[in-house]
Amino acid sequence: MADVMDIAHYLGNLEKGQNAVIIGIIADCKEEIRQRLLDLGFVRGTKISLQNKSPLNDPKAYLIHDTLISLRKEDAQKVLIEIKE
Amino acid sequence: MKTNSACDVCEFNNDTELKKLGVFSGNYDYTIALAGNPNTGKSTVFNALTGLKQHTGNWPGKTVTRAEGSFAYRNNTFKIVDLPGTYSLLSTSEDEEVARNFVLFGKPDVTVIVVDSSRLHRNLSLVLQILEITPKAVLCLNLIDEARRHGINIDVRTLSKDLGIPVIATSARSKEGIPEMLSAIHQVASGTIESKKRSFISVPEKTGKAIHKISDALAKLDPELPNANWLAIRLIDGDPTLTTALQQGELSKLMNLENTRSPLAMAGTLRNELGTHYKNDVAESIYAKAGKIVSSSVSSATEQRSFRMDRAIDNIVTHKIWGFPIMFLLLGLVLWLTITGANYPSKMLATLLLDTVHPFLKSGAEAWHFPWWLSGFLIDGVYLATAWVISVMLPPMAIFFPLFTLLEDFGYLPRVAFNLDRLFKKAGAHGKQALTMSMGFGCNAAGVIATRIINSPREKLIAIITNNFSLCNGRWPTQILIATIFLGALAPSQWAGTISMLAVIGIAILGIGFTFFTSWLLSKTLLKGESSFFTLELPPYRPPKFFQTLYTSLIDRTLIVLWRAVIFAAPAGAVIWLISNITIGEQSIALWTIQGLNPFGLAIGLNGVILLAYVVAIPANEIVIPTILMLTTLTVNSATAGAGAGVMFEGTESEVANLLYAGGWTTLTAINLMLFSLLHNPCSTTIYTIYKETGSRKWTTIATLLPVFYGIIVCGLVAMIWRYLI
Repeated sequence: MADVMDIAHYLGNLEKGQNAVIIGIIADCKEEIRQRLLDLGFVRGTKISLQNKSPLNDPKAYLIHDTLISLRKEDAQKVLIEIKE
Repeated sequence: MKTNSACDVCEFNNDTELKKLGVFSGNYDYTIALAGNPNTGKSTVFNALTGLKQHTGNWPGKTVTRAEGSFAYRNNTFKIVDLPGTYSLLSTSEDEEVARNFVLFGKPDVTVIVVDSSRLHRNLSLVLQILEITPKAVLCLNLIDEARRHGINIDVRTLSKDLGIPVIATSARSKEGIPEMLSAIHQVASGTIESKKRSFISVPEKTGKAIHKISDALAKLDPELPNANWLAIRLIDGDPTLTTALQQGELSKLMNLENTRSPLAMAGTLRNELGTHYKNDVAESIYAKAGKIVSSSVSSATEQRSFRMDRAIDNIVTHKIWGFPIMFLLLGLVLWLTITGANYPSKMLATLLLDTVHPFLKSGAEAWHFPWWLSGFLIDGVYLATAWVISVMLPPMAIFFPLFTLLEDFGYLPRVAFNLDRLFKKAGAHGKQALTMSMGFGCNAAGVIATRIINSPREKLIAIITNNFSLCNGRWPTQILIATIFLGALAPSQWAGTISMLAVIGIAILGIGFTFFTSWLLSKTLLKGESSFFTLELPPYRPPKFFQTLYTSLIDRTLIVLWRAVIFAAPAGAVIWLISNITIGEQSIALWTIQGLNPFGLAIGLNGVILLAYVVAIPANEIVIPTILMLTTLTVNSATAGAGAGVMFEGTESEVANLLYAGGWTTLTAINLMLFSLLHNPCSTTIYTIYKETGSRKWTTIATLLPVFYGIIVCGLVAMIWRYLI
């Protein structure tokens, strides 16, 4: 687990132009939200990138499985990613 | 437009065997379920099959309740049920329950799964879940034309072999592939094609072993059980609906409370053992399987697919600096087109219904020797109010709704929600409220109906209650007229137009302010709670189909709202006429009421006439001004203006100005009327719609009275300050 945490970032901190792969969803996440995120394709191994920020910086739209999904910051922070540049 | 081509009469064209039955009631040979992710063109497929014109917005979650239609094909009748679009069947949200329960308990003869060909990987996740429940399915690879444009190639045969079901590439908008799909549906329904039950979701390691354990236990109880694997997956997750269904023998006659006890207990133990890893493992394995299937059947011309156009538009409309101005400009443009564009047809309708038909009916009634009260009641009361509502409501709606629907179908509106979510979140509300609020500028009743796209009940109620603060079409003309007469007149003539326009825009912005304030207030008091999980798909931009948009927006929005308004207009017309003509003692009921309301009305900077007008003109904000004018003639006893007691009328600006000044109006009255026009109860059409949507008297009452309360407070405060200053 230690080395996983070394490379892990929160999705909410992903910058435009970076490519990342999802590592998982944090343990401290309501079951209902976990399921919703999984249903939307936020599963381990999925490529993800930041496509658009809304004018007030939150929410942000992510490209995942060829679809733009927008998440609020607090929800994006529940997804752990590894940045691949 | 379309001529009978050789294809239309060719016997090899299966399409000719299709009879669209719309809403046909009777017995059906087969039932079909239509499932799929949001934004896959499911409703377009539904329309192509049934001929019903269900509105197909480019907006996730359009089909909120299920729609049904029917068609006949090769001597068989089919009922088709359009299920809500969902990403998965694993959550317990309302949409997913509806979809899941229908596929599972409704036992459709065929489940048609509509997917977006350009997004197969994501869509296959749902497909695999459905195939775990039933193998009697047809995959509809929709939007295939879009996929081709993006250089995506799908090997239909391989995909069909991998999934074990017929796969048909379609473009429902251009009817491509529909005949083939009908044939496939028919074959699966009639059993010509027999799909074998296969299991696609295979979860590795510990979690997989757990699922096997439960599915084996279930299979022992009923070896014929078609979906043991899937039931096992759900039971370990603790799905309450399925647990009960299993105990009560709804899924298998061989199961009951007794013999399911041990597998259910085992599932509970495993749930505790596996913890949060369980959900992750299941979702991951589904996506992994989908990925495998995609890699063997899909090839893209380029790694970076060409959604460049979409990205370019998104970069502009969600831009840090330009995002908001573009939004206001577009909404402003739609409103401007509506208000100015409606003038001409409104005048034509008024000329026809009010200036031609009305006198004609009056003289007809005279010729038939109707007593004066009967002709007055029916023609001046009931007919006139109804005709008035139609002539002032129909044209703006017939312009606003199609324009708005074009923006919606193009895919712009979800971007508005995306841009504004931050503000709504701060007010404890949902980003999608941005759409319902914008819709309210056209019509509050339509805005309230639009709140169906908000999933969370708490946030949906907030959107419903605050919709009335969007200044609707019915109120813009009132605002413009009063601002022009009273406020424009205060400024030098070259500035008059600008001043009155700014005043009206100011009122609309104040309305937006009240929307946010009230949302915040409600989320701190009556509707306490955290803002729920917000996800929003920003769908690809799609060119709207112009004529279809025109047609469907007229049918599903304009006519429904107009009809509701007419139902209330007729009795209100009767009341308006009666109170003006029935006298008690020396004067009419209307005058007594006005005198009774005057002290309070004047105290808050309005008057008795205005208050009474707002009560009796409840069917539509459009008839408030004509009612005010008519009531004012009663009070000033004017012989020159008006058309008689209880007969609503309108005049030129200077006529109206003279009459209102004679009625004692001041600049304060005008300002407060503008404020009260923003802050008063919704029209009866909207109130009725709120009741329909919430099913609750309590919330309907709150939504009705809260704005009136605001109106009285705000007008009272303005009057106080005004008197203090002047």
